[in-house]
Amino acid sequence: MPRFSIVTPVYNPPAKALRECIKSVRKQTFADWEWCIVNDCSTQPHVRRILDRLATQDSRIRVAHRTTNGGIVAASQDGLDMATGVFVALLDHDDVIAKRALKRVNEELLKDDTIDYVYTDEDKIDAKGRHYDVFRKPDFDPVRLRGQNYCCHFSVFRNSLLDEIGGFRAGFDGSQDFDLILRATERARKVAHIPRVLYHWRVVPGSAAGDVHAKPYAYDAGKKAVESHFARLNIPIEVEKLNPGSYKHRFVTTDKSKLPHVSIVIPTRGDTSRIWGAATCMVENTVHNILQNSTYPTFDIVVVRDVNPDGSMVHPFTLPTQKNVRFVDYSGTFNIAAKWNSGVLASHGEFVVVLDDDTQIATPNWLEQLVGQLHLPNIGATGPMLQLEDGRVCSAGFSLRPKPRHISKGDSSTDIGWMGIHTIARTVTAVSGACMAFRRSTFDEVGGFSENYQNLFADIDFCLKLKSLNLDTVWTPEAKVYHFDARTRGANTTDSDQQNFEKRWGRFIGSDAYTRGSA
Amino acid sequence: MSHAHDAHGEIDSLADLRDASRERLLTEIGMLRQQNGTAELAAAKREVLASRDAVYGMSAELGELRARLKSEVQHARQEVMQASTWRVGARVLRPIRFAKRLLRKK
Repeated sequence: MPRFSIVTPVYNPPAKALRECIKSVRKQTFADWEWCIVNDCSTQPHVRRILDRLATQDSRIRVAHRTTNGGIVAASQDGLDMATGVFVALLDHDDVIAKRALKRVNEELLKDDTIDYVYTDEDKIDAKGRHYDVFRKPDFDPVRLRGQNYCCHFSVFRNSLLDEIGGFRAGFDGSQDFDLILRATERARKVAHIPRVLYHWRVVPGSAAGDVHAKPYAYDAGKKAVESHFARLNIPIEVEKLNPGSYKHRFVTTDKSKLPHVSIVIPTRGDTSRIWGAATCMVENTVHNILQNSTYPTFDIVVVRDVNPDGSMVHPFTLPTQKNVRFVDYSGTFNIAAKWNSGVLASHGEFVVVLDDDTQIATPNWLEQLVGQLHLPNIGATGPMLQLEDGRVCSAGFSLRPKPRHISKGDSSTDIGWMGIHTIARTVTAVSGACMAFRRSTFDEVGGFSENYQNLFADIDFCLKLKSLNLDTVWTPEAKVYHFDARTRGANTTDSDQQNFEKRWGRFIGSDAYTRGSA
Repeated sequence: MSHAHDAHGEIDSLADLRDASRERLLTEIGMLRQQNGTAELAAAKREVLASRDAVYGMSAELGELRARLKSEVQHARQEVMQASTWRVGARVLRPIRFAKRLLRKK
């Protein structure tokens, strides 16, 4: 039984590209492989000629010729049926793998017996063999995978897992690999990512690599694959095609009475600032906006207000006297974590959202989308797309590379971002405390926000504590919130906050598993 | 002033206290107990939170110290390996190592 079976469906590739593909496999530095090639009844005569000659040159290469053209799914499945290896690698007929690709994958697999699926970084090659568009991928991120087949090439699966899930499925032509990866990763014991470019995706006229509009049917199939994934998870969802190759999912509620109660905690001093040219009491604006526009049926608001020692408000403000708006007085020295903790402790919701007082919700279903993500397994906290007053991105999550920073800050929010990151939900190292949702039980478990930090880092620290419980943090563009970025005490890093953060998490600063590319 | 208070009003002066009925005093005592209890409970909850955070913090700090130690050991090892004395010594010992390996094979 060989270690690897490479599966390649073939249909009319240019002779030069096919020869280069063949050369790249035969040059592998790791020798324990077989190649299962399925000619899907190619009409160009050179294909059969090249493949037949190839089969006589190397006993590890097996070629099957289909008598009818069955399409990519049927041909790929025939290839899978031929595969006898422990692992199955997928290779397209005109692409190229690096000389050490199988060797590197094997080294990774030897590290852990429970790895069932491996993917690597990739780039593109043009007709002249020039490499470009290097895609340095994040570590395995099931949330991002739901919106984009970012794993794609080079994908290597444990053969027994493919048997278990039944291989490729008919009806997913063009996105059959996406559907396969979604189904495989649902069951895989472990997924590994090799951060090396081991696959070169050839761009030829008519290929999806060069023109995302080349195969429109593939994106319908991709949408179907995502819908089918959520159906298996039993989560009601609406999937929409975005820019080709990306899909957004929106949580829908069939029975609003069953939604869990959410508490929104807003710490404030009651300051006034200019928002869109008008002097506005920020907390009044934030609360009014939530009460008027939120579509979520069951929530309460806990306003943590600064008070003087005599109990009077520092900057008096008025809010509607509603049953679901309550106040908690805070008279200590400024400490944002302490204010968040006071508010959360006084709240009753199963889910809690901490929200800055200088915000304004931009999507009425923001709570549905933030809380919806928390119903998915292994998710501890979620945050929305935070936008500045002028509509640019304020924060699309936090990255620790090269140092703690907001992802895409200052970029246009109408631009899709590097590899579409502004348009799809994905896992991030942390989200901003300007708007963050989490389960109350998780908050209690990790000891809330650390009051060691006075001004900054308490939110990142909280998300890193969640990570130590194997809970991820998710950023979603389906919820949008304006953040006017006028923090009560400014946003300057204090030395002590920085030192405290480095004391706990210094080893993570400088690299980030989720922002390796240009994000 | 004290007479204007209703049965559930706060007792805020000595005159108030003197004139208060037994029923009103009992109500006041109950309210104060409840307030203190809530405050104590809130303080206890905060202490629990702070303790849990401290545990997570210490565990994170321990991880950080381990990582630093590992990197310092690696750094020190690299420095030693790059030192000229080490390189000269390695060259001198190369024939002996080679002979040892041969002997082991035999």
